[in-house]
Amino acid sequence: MSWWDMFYQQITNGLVLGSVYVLVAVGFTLCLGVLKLINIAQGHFLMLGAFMVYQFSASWFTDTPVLSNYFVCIAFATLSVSIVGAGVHFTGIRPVHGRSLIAPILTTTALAFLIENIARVSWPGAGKSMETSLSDNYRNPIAQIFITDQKILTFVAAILLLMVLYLSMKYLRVGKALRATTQNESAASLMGINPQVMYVVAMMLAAAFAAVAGALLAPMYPIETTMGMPYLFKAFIVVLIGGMGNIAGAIAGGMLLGLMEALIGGLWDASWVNVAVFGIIIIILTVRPAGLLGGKGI
Amino acid sequence: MISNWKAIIAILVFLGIAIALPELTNPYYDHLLVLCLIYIIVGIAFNLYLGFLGELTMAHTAFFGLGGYASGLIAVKAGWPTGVGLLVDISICVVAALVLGLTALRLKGAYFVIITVAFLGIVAQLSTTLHDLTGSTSGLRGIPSPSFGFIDFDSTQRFYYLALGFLIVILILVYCLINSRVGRGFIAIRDNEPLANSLGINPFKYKMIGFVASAVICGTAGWLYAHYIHIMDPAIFGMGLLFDTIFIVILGGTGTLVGPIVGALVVVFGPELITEHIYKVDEAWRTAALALFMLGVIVLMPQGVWGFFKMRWMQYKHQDTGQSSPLGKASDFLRTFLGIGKGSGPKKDSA
Amino acid sequence: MLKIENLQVCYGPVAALKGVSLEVGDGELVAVIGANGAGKSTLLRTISGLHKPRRGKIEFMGKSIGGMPAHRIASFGVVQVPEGRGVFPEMTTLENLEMGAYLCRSKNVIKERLEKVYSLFPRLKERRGQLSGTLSGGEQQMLAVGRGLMADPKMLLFDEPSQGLSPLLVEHLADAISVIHKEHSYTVLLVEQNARMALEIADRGYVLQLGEVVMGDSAANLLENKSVKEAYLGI
Repeated sequence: MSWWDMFYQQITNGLVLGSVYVLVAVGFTLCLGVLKLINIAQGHFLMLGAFMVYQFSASWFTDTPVLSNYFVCIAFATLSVSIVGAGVHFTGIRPVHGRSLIAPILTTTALAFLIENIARVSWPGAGKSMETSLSDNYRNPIAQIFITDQKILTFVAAILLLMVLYLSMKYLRVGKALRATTQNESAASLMGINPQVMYVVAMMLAAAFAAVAGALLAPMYPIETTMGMPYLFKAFIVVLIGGMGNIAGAIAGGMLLGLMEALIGGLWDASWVNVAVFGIIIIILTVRPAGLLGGKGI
Repeated sequence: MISNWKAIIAILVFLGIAIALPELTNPYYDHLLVLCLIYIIVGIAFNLYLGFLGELTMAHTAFFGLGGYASGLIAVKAGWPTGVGLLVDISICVVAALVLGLTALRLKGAYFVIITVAFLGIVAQLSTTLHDLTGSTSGLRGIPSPSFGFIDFDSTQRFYYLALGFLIVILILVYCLINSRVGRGFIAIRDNEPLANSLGINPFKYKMIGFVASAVICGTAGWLYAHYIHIMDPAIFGMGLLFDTIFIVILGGTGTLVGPIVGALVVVFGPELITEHIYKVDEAWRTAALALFMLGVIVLMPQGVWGFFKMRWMQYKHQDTGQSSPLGKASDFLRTFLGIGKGSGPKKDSA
Repeated sequence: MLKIENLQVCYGPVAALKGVSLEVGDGELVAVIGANGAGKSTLLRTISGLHKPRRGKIEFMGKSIGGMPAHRIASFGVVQVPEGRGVFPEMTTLENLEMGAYLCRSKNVIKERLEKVYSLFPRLKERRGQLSGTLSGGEQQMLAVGRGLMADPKMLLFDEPSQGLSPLLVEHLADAISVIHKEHSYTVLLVEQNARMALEIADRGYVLQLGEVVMGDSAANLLENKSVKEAYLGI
């Protein structure tokens, strides 16, 4: 395999990896922008998404004709996790609203623990795995790159969802209201925008996006109750790179992170990836403390 | 005057109980007590930054682990005495805190939290990556018990007293720090940074002092841990310890010295007491229950359990005694210790 | 239209308004002047629902609105042009204006209102695609006012609109507010530190000092009043 082949392979891997990162990070940054919240439970939404899609497709809807379709299950999983997201908001975020920056971090942490352990009890044992018709289908499109249909799906789905999100934020009334709330909440409320409604919407969106990511990962990796946390960390890093509350930044940052990890890890040394990334972040933050793209816009 | 006497007696009683504890309980509880003490020390360090400087950091377990590994490596690979290990431990924490602080302390709030988490992640990653040094996921084994000169602290009971000694020294040092000009600077920065800045208090410098102090204390706790458990493994950098320590402080109440003590007691002994009575409870249920409890505390008792009762007590007696006499000083100590003294308490809602 | 009785507002333990009573009649332009810290902004924030009163009544068109959340009060037609402009910096001028009409669902009506605002402030039409964060102070103020108008308000509240503007711009601003009031007969409550500007275009005025209303009279009388002249008009 020539070096170029490896390079293209890593680019491909990076884009897929980045897609997942972006989905989680976009939700995370929505929480940051609209609710000014560091949502520790964001990774857990991903985990729940994976478990729920498993639960729907391999258990509840297994023998039902239409419903057992993978995509339908993703939809159901996403919906159910969004509801959990709303639950997190009403139990952990709304009650401590306005108290301090730290309180919501602590409550989302507690809720994350709660979710994780309830998952452990609900799906006992060593973790689940599921397969779809797409998982094993290896393709070999151009120049010896290995990729599965599932990975292609992940990338495409992410792009589609992000486009829908972007367009919604730009043109839909609700989207504009979210942006306004992010940029100046009190002014937004003076325009008749109910911040509480915005909070719930943002939270449910965040949970939904993470859930989709989890559902897309489910056929590719073992489904464990601990699978969500690393993605939370990645979200942190993406936000550092791309700016807080900044959707475009999250998209760019997520892809960038995915590519960086794949390239550095694949072409150089896998174990030093995180250190290298950290170093890059320090440089970025020293030069531009607000992140690469700064600002709170879309 | 009466309350001053009460203060002194209270301190002595606490001390007495603390010293006598190992004799009164069985070896298993002794083990838990040691862990408790170590947790308290980390809690104090974390609280120093959160309660008195007002910023949330997630780097404390990083320093804990860093220090523990450093000292452990010194002892295992180089064969040097544990006392040297402690010094190396502290030095490394100072350096790491300075370096991290240079970048991180210019940021605030959410950014700061995130960078400290990133730091934690990096240190965690390094502990597995440098597998020649650290033994990767199986960890660093065979770390000896501390020995200073002729005294070997290799039994649990002895170690308890060592840890207790450290705790007392640290408490005294932190108390002095908090009541010094520097400490008041901390509180000024916590309550209103721009104002403090305009009064000539350099936030960066003070935050750095607090950050380094906090790191050193964590490193010390890490040293204790390493030489007690005799193993350092990468799991130390995981969520478990991180949230335990945060929970300790939140549960106990920020901005006080006693808070971490109460919190640690609950976190270490709580699950034990629960499982004594409820046998076949899956650990997951236990953690879930603890998480729910934590949620309740944060929502309903923002000042932490200790702070909550303290507030109640203060509503009964709103007094403030003279502080200049020696007895006044001791009473002052107790008040700071308990968190009801002037200037030492948390803001109304600490969480 | 607006009736405030014995309004008391506190920030924690500190009392910012200690029993304020005032009235704004239909179609009037009422000014509230006072020094910094007198409580003027607090008054407006409380009326708009950004802050809750401790005690007292706020009645708008017969309805008691004290304590309601801001977005609800806005839906009654009480629209504030906030202190410091409060534009949405990463949104364009046009988007900001559209935000003003958030509660209106009809695209056509929004378009009509937009045209009206453009005719009043042609500069905003010029700069409609520009990010509002990059506009100059005067332009942002125009935008904030225009945005307020987009809501087709029953009553407009202005919170220190002259803040940070050059004297020339303050003149323009005063003219604009006057036009809005007179030609389009909006009811206006204008809170200002620039007493002269406010009293010159107002019908009536109140003087707020340390959280209390110390004087209330027609604007003309206030302009002639000796103590007002000394304290606030710099004479």
